[in-house]
Amino acid sequence: MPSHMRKALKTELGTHNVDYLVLITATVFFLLFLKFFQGERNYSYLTVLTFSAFYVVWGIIHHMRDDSVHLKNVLEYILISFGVLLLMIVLFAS
Amino acid sequence: MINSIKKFFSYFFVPAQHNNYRAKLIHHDVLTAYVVMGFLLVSLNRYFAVPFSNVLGVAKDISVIKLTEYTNEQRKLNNVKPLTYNKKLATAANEKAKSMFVNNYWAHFGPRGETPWQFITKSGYRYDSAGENLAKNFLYSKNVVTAWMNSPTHRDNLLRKDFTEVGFAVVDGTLGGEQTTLVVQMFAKPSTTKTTAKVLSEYTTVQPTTSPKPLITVPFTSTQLASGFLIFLLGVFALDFYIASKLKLVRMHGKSLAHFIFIFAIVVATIMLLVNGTIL
Repeated sequence: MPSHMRKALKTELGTHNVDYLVLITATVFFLLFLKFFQGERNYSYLTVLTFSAFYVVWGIIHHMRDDSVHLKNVLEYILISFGVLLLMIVLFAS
Repeated sequence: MINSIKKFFSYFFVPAQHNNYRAKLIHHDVLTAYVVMGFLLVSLNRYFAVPFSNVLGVAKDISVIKLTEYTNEQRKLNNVKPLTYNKKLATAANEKAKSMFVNNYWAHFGPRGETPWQFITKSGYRYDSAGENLAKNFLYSKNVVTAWMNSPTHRDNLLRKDFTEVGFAVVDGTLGGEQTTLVVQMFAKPSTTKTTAKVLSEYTTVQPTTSPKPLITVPFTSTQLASGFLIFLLGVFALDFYIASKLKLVRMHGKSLAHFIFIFAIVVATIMLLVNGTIL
């Protein structure tokens, strides 16, 4: 990994260590839940839906703490999580 | 010419002044376009699921040929003679799958006491020993056989020396209010006597039947398209983070690192869901 990228990562993770810890913990739990609900399509959907909603909330809180919350930022998190959710529906709809 | 290609690539992928220091592919308007396209795909899938079932919705790749091939591959690896495909056993497997959809159960034995062996006998097959394996919610033939091989009882059926013939059914339907694909595999050893023997093996493995041919074939399934797009998006955010850190950009945008973590989790989840189904 290039040094400037490593430095930027260190700065970002160091400044917002709690936020990223929460995000990574939620990610781990999300994957564990999916494993637990293996083969149960409805529960898998629900898990993905919950994680997507969580990501939007995480984004808003993160930017609030960073004093950079803006409607555009919120919209970006909504678009990404909703877009990904639609993709998952396409993947497993039938 | 090269310059215009470079400019085009830079505009869409590289944060710079001309795209407001954010790759165009992750601008709000383009992200909105992704969502609209996704919404259209889901809607088309819902309304055209029947006539265009292989275009948008059905992403599974399970076939009788492949199931037979992988089953026999495993038998060969374990020095067991390969199984011969039997049409009567395939019919029995098909009837079993239909029975599960009609009577809404997911088990070796039906709610009214139906046994796997009844379906075999009904098909006109006479056996000395027989077995059944079931699977549901898988997308690929190889994953079905791998899951069976990882389960001791299913593995026993799959590698049983006694069995010489096999039949498969791969049937789509709704079970418990959920759209699914059932795979039924029936093994047997044909009877050497004229009457049906009563010796039955444990119910084990699987047997796929041919799926209906798609009306329209496309080079990519929706699964491949969607997974490819997720990986592409992951790459765009990684590139954005790389360039932004190199140029030490301070922007009023969402965090590319967070987006990367989120999409990466979704990619891992996709892989998990594609691999995992349920066996019985």
